[in-house]
Amino acid sequence: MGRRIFYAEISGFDDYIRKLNSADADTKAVVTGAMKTAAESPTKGTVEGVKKPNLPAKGKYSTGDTEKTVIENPDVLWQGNTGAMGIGFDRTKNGVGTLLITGTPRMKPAKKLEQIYSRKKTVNEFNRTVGKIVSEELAKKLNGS
Amino acid sequence: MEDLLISVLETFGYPVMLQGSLLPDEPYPDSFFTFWNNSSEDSSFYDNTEHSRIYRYTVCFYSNSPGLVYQKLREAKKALKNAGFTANGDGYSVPTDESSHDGRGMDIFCIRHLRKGE
Repeated sequence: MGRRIFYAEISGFDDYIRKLNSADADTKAVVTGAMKTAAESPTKGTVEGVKKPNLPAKGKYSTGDTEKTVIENPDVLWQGNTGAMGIGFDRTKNGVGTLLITGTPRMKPAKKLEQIYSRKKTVNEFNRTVGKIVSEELAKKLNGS
Repeated sequence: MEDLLISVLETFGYPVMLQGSLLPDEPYPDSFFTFWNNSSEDSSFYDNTEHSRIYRYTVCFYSNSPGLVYQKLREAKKALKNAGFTANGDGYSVPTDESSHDGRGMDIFCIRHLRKGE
């Protein structure tokens, strides 16, 4: 799982879900697809964030290992009606992604990564994208296209 | 806002420093707090003007005593809440440069209502 877990709780969208279900849509597949699309922007930002110019000391001490730990195609894990998606770094691999986000007493956080993972904006954009795609899908199903 | 944050953390009697400000060859104190300002966003817009500002911080506590990192961060959460900050959850583990120390962090925020013309 990555540094930040994004959730989509579909039971809260009762009206949407009822309409999607009645339109024979596979609700979880629709939400899964929407979450994967919404993850593209923070994932792209994360890959960019571990490039040398964006690292502390301009990447002077970078071995390139951390870039290999970025989760490029995050999966959605469903538990009941809640879909969870870990975006960021694969903690099972050798890298310092988490350290770059939080910083340490001797190292400031890497600015670009900190902007993605420590600010509300990323979550808001993620939720907005998921909502937009689900409502577009619903409109398509209801219009029979 | 940072002054208030620092003054609350200082009541615990441990050093309080900006994350990343310890020099490479400077030893870790036995226990200490760090903070980092993640963002300050304007909010409460009416009449085309912002009326409040939301400050977000990461506060970490590091110690060579593993039990203290949980205990002190929880106590700090209470003290910060009493001072008007909001904290979510019970924190998370954070990496350290020294294997002798453990660290835990939490995200906190505070909404400051702006005075007219501020």
